[in-house]
Amino acid sequence: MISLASDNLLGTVFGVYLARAKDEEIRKIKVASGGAVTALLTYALEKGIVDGVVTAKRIKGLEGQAIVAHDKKELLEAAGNKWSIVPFAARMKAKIEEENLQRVALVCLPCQAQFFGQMRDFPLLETDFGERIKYIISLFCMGTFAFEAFLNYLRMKYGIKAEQIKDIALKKDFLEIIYDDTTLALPIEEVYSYLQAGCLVCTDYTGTWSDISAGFVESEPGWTVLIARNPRAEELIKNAEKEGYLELKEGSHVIGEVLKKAREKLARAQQNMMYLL
Amino acid sequence: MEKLKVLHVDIGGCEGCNVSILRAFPNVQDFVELNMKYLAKKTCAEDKYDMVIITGGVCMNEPHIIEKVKSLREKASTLVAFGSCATFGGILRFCRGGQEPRPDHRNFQPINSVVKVDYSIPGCPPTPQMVQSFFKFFIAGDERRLRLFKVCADIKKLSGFDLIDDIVLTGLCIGCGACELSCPTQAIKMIDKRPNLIAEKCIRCGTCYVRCPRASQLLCMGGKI
Amino acid sequence: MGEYLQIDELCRVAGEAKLVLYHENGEVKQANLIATAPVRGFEKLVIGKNPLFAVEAVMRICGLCHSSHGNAAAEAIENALGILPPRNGLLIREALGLVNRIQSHILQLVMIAGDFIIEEKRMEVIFKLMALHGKISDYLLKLGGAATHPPYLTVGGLLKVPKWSVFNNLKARLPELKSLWAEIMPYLLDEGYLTEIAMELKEKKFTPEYLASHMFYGDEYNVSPDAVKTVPYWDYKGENEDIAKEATTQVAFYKGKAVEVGPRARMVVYRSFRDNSLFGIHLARVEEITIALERLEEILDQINMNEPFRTQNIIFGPGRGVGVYEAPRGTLFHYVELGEEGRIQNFKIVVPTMFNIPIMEEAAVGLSIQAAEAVMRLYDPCIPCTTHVVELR
Repeated sequence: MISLASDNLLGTVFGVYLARAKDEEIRKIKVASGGAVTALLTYALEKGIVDGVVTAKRIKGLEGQAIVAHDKKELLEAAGNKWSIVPFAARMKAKIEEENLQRVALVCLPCQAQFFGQMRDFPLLETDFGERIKYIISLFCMGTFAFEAFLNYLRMKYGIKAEQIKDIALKKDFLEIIYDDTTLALPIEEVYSYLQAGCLVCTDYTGTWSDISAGFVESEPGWTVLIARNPRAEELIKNAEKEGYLELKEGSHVIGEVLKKAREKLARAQQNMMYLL
Repeated sequence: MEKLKVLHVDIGGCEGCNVSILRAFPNVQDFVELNMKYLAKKTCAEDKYDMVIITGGVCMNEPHIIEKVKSLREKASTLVAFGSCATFGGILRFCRGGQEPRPDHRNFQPINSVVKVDYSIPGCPPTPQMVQSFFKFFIAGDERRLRLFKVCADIKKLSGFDLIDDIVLTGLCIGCGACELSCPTQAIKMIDKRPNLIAEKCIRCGTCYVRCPRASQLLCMGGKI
Repeated sequence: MGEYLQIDELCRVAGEAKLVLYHENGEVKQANLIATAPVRGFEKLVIGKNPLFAVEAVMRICGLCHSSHGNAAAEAIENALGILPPRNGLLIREALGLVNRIQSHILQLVMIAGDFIIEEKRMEVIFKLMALHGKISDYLLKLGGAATHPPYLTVGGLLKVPKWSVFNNLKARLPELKSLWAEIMPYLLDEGYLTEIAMELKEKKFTPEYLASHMFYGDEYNVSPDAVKTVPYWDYKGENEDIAKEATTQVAFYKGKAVEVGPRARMVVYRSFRDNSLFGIHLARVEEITIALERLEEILDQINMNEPFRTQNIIFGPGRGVGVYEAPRGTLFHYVELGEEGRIQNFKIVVPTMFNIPIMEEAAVGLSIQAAEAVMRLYDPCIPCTTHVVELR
């Protein structure tokens, strides 16, 4: 366990792990990432620690929709990188209330994690549902696309239609668009201008308000980095390993790599703020 | 452990915030000694309090209220402005006086226009759970979590209009929908992934602004790094 | 006129007020309740604004009886526009008002506990009451969108309709609420728990004239809104009372007379309530919570999810209207005048405490000093409301 100062870029870090799913089925679908988040949530759902997982599912092209997953199958359907933000909050509230969920886990981006984290810590409004949020899992985030604009760009320049796109992944400095059976690698600079302006000034890479931050580093392909931010999160991860859902190894050696990314995001934000603010 | 000595004083609000604090009382009594009008025979009796919570806005045309706020500052190690009227002006921003029997009461300001405030908690009204959380983090000395409220203490005005101006019109909005959920009057609706403010329903409480992840992130950094 | 006693900070009432007493050997000869809270001028600040904003704004006059102001303002504006919300809308509005009434009564009981309940039991009773307050507040949150200043309450009915499951859930929880209340009631009424002050008020008979318009909701046709007149407090007291000049309130009279409004007035006019002691007000208030819970159950049963909750196609235009509503503390009048495009041109509010101030001062005469202070609390004055009210022309 390492501890960093709380004003650190990465927020409170209680423990860092590299993890991947033990379940072959999950690993098959999530080759690149190791599927640790899916496995962790499957564990939480199957053991009744949470009664629902709210996450985004890509429905068409890059568009997402908030859904509630109750089992592994539904979780797997929602798996994949999220490249667009969904007006998540209100939908999420509606979902939680409709199904009367009492203990939910949320998978979201750092900005959403911040909102939900703040809501949980500081319920300013009676309508807040912070007490129902059991775990907030934030994914590492370099920004989200203004997806209508980005899709239009893909269509105009490369003739790729939204419904052809199967997945999008970040590989080193390239953004890989997997459509039909081909892969298009776009240099990251080329697509930067299609990130939402708000993301360009965001300084939070990991999601400092979350319970667990999850993402990948280049040096450990096939593994997910999990950052536990409090003892509760640590316990969940450890127990998932004990119960045979997760394969876990110590990950403090990759924290530098995560930090490097976070610094990149910070530098980008600083630069953009000079223009935008 | 010694209990935190807390005084609550209302200087002219709607009492909604007072009720919130009263409702929180049963849950915080183990670590907070609360002196408030609803429960006591007398308030403000002592010279020093660990924390003074003020609700309601300052009527600038009423010298005795200004004096009272100043004397409360003297008594307080930590001064907390609670509720939107006390923090950002809230609905009291609309006051324009002219009403009998005191047409001279025409200008209301947040507390920080008169004295230095340490923490500002907006909301119309903030919930009892908020009071509990605040005490919890305050006693634990969790500065990182309280940072937002500390920053707010230096701001005199925040509202849905500021949110629109600073975040939406500048293109910084990412469309997460936090503001929609935060509005106590349902003045904000998401239209095409961007908030639309029904201008006349905004009561200038500032809740949406402190709840917006982008805005609160920028606030906590003081607009720059 | 005897000795002078000034209580600068009257505690355990809603809002800032002073109590000035003249007494002879501890027997009160004259009492003056001076509200000192600043005048925020809500009637003026809504002028020129959209009626929808007016409803949101006037709710913020008071954090204790928010829904009452919301109901009365919405009624007044609808009256001016000549519309009537659909049955569902009216029912929900009544429910919001009743929940608010229970909330407000509970808070009053918390505040009066310091006078009426013996010290050994006091905190226990207060915590029980607060637990009930939390539970009932949840009803307002689910039905109205917030436990304070419910945003769904608007002109024409309900802005947003809760799901059917919400109604079912609320209905299912009512029995628990009722039994919780039944558990608390004995503490508030049983002589074994009551103080001497309570006993003194039991002995004191006091029967002013009563004004009430309805048991639950409020009906402008049961009263004459035009017969309400208000005067500034200092005019009412006369020039020789220097302290009266500090007062930031007005007092109201109905047909030229001081009238008592509130729980006892409602119970006497619409139920066969016959206790004429001052303690009777306390009894009436306790009884009203029981009745309100019963009525709430009836309302929840009558909601028809297939029917609309709000008037469609409201056209805003000029007009005059009045809204009368039975707030927790008594009859509340909102008078509104809409101008071009239906914007507010004139707004006047007469709140229950304005009627009650002369009555309270009269009731205190002849009592001990402690009991006189308790009487002020017994009538549950709401200073924030009272200080925001304009002179009627």
